Amino acid sequence: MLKPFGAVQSSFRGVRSLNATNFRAPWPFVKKGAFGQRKIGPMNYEKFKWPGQNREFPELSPKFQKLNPKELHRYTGVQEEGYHDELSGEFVAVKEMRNEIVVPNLDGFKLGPYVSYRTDVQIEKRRIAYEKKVQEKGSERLADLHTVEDERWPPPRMSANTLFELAYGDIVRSEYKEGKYGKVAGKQE
Amino acid sequence: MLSSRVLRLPRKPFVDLDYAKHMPAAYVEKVKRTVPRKTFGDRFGAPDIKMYYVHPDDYVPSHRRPWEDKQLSEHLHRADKYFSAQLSNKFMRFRYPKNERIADTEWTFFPGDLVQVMVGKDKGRQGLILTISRDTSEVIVDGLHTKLGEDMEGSDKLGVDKTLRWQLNGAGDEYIRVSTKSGYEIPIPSQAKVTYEYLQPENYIEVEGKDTPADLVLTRTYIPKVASFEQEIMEEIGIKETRTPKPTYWY
Repeated sequence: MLKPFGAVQSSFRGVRSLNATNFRAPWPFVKKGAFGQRKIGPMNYEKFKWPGQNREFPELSPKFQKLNPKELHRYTGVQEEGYHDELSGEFVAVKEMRNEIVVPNLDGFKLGPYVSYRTDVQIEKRRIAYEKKVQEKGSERLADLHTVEDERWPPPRMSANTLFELAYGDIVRSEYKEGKYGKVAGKQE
Repeated sequence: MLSSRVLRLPRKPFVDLDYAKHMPAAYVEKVKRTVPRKTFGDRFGAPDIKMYYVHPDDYVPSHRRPWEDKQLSEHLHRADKYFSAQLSNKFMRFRYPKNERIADTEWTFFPGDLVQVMVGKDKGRQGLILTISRDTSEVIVDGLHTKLGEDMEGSDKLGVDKTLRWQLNGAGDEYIRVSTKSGYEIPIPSQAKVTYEYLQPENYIEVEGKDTPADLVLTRTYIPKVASFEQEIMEEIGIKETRTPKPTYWY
């Protein structure tokens, strides 16, 4: 037999009476005097979304709120975009104090956030090719002469020697030929 | 002669074959719940004290992946029990004996292999391997499965030997799977190379706008230059240095 929760007058025929207790709202009604004037339904307090909810600012003492400095009354942990004018009692927004996020222009930038899984395959291919070259030629130095430097894997290391060669190699060689460093001992002319 | 030692090391491409090879390790640890609940740091140089959800030593591996729904709920339940045991101050230590994991270089089973039961009541039955579980040394075979280790103990007497082994190939640069009895190479099935992302790494479809293409990744853009960081910035802005530095000498 149908019997709704809290029904006062039940019927033998399984029919609800028109008594108000049989037609209750899906949310609880709160008596006016019991809990103050109250809204029915979900509450959404904007204040709870502000920073500093769980005493997260160590600058402010939650214990002695009167002892907190006056400058920190509206403290949110965020740099303010203006100042409080004491004369007029109003907040003056200053354009120069506004935060500006400077982002590089990425137009034409080809790199993506992820690296393709095919990179591993490419590296493996290059490595095998280079290894084969090394075995064929007998040494790494000889193999380097016969491979494109950009195709080599592992890529050649940048050493102080290489850097010096790239930066000053030609200058030193030409100056040596000109005889700027003087005669080399043991060399016959 | 080969001057580089690294180059001469033969490859072992089979050691990291797995369906979930690219799953981020941090995520896997998180779903296993073997992450610290709290870390007590700043101990004047002493190592951090970590309170775990479940201590890594207490983790019980399974043939299921830890992020699967059933497995994850089991881990959460276990972490709960673990925590309540700590709270109730019982001297309860779930330190499970460490699972004896077969070394990566010793493991010879891969998904897609045709295997045959050699011992027991199912002797002679064959099937294809569906999945393998390295943590529990289990092999799930289509139609029948078995747990390695228990069954294999004392199997030498029954005439069952290790049927496969890893051996250097002719060129000496890679390890291949070779049958002990016949000496034939048994190549790793292509199914073993399947991951969440691709069927074959060569056929991976690059996601446009997200993946950086392989060629672009491997281009070398670095131009060596003898200049400090400050000097490079100066050059970019257009500041010219007129003063010449005094010579310095190293002895």
